[in-house]
Amino acid sequence: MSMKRDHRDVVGGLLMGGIGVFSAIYAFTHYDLGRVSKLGPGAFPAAMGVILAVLGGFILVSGLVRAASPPSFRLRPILCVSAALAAFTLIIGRFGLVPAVSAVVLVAAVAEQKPHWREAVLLAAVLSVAAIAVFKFGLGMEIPLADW
Amino acid sequence: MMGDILLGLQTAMLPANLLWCFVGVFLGTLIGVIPGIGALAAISMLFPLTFHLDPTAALIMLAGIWYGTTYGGSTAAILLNVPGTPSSAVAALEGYPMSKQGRAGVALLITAVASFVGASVGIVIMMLFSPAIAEYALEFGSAEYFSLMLMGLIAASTISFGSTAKSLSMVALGVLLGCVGMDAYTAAPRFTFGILHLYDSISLMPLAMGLFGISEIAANVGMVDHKRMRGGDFSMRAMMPTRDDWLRSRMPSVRGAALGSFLGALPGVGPAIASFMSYAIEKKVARQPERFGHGAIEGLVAPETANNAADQTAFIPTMTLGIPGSPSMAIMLGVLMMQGIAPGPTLLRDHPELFWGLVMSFWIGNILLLIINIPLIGLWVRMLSVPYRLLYPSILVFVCMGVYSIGNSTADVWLVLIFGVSGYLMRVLDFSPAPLILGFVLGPMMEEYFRRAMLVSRGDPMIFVERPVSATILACICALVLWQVAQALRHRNGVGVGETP
Repeated sequence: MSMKRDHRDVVGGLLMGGIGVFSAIYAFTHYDLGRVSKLGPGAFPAAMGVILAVLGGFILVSGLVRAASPPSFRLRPILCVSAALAAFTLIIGRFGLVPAVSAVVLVAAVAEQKPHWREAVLLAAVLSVAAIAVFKFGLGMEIPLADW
Repeated sequence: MMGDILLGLQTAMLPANLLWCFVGVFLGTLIGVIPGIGALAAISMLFPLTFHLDPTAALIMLAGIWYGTTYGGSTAAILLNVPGTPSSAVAALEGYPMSKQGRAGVALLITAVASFVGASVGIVIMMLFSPAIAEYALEFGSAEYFSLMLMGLIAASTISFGSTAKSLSMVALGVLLGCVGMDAYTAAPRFTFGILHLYDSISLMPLAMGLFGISEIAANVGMVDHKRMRGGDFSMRAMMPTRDDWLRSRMPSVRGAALGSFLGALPGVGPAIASFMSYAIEKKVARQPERFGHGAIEGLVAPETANNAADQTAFIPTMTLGIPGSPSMAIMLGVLMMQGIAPGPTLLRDHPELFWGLVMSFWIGNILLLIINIPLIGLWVRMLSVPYRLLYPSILVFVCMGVYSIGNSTADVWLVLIFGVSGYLMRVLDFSPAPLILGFVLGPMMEEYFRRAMLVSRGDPMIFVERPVSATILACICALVLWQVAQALRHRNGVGVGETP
């Protein structure tokens, strides 16, 4: 892994540049740009896309010539948090509030290096009650508690 | 003015509004005390709940959280050398040495008083200047609005959030995301890729909650350190500051209030920058600068006055011009827009009870905070020992339920997920997500004003330079950009002060 580049900026620049180029081209080809005196829906996004592409290019270039330490990140927390959110969306419609809330707590617990399972179960119960109080009674939401 | 004040008091004293004010400041202090959750994440989280409230109550509560966190953040900084909020990082510099000298009680009390003084000054300034600014702004046309918003975006990117190029790219990305949905003029769908949910455009709520709340959790899990308070670390009886303390605090609080009020009203500058600058200034003008770092009370009072003043004046551009100076303000604007209220100069004219009710609620809120913060110190200290592994699942549950509660739809929860992952990716790549929110909120409006200005001028872009106000603003933007370029060339490193909420 070469330390002579700022890898964060290289990736970031490519990403931003890519999004910019894509947006500009997409807007250009799919939407009406209009005339200067009567700008169409495509004009602003296309311009923004170009600006983003230029900025992305600038960041990319500055990343190529500058040395910096490689980025550090941990995969486990973000994966578990995402999984918890996904679990919620899949469960709430089909199985109701309590299972969905419990799923969030239990899946999110995995994000810790050493999950405290008994605590998690207790927390799931407490939060289910809290959610019922706030959302079902407090806000009057129509939602089944548990439904299989 | 008196009529407005009475109207405001009437509104603010309504039982419902009083209740939400209390809820807001209490939650705000709590969130401020606990490191690992910021005002912005909290405001994002409670955003969906505000949907069920009336707009005045919603704003009062969110505002309470906003300025409440500044009160609470200094508590953790003074007692544990861990700032609860970015703007209280400075409080640790003098507050922590003070608590090691057994003067924690004094530090906490004088911080609460300083915060109240700062907030009061900020509120008075808001009361005095807002009507005039709003009146003047009524004359503004599309060109002026466009230039103002452009300046807000560029100022926010250049002054605070780190690398300018990266912040500007975040702004551009935010604007692009704002374009998703139906075009305002022609109703043509843009960037919807056939997905029905996107026809309604992306809602600010899942964007903010994912980008800030979720990514913050992902970054903090397993990392947030919980130093435990040893019982009897400080004596609450020794809370009264000495006469010398009060005398020493007078001029620093005046300087802090003035600086904070001014900086808070500028877009892109917020309480954190105000507190850092205030500390730097105190150190420069102090007669005995060597005392700083060892419990100099001037170094504690000035920043705490400044950040609270900045909290209050931050509302000025937001409420009078409709231009948010920070992501939290952008979310509060989003609340107004969701309820069908157009922010900007017409707000004072069409909804005076909302504006003045909000301003009066600031007084009530700050008084409540002064009362809450002094006797309840023990409670806050105990809160500091709640482990993060209990907090973050709770936050996740409330995010999910909150977002789902709007329309019983899971599509927005998916958006939270997508933006959460994106937000984390941005943190890893060192892109600040805050300018994205600003771009997202201001982008569609800017586009509308730009197109309208071009329609009025029949395609002549010179309209932006021909109208004097617009031209002045554009000149300021150029000056800002040139200054940034000059700085970058000098330091070869565009690093600014990090500022999140």
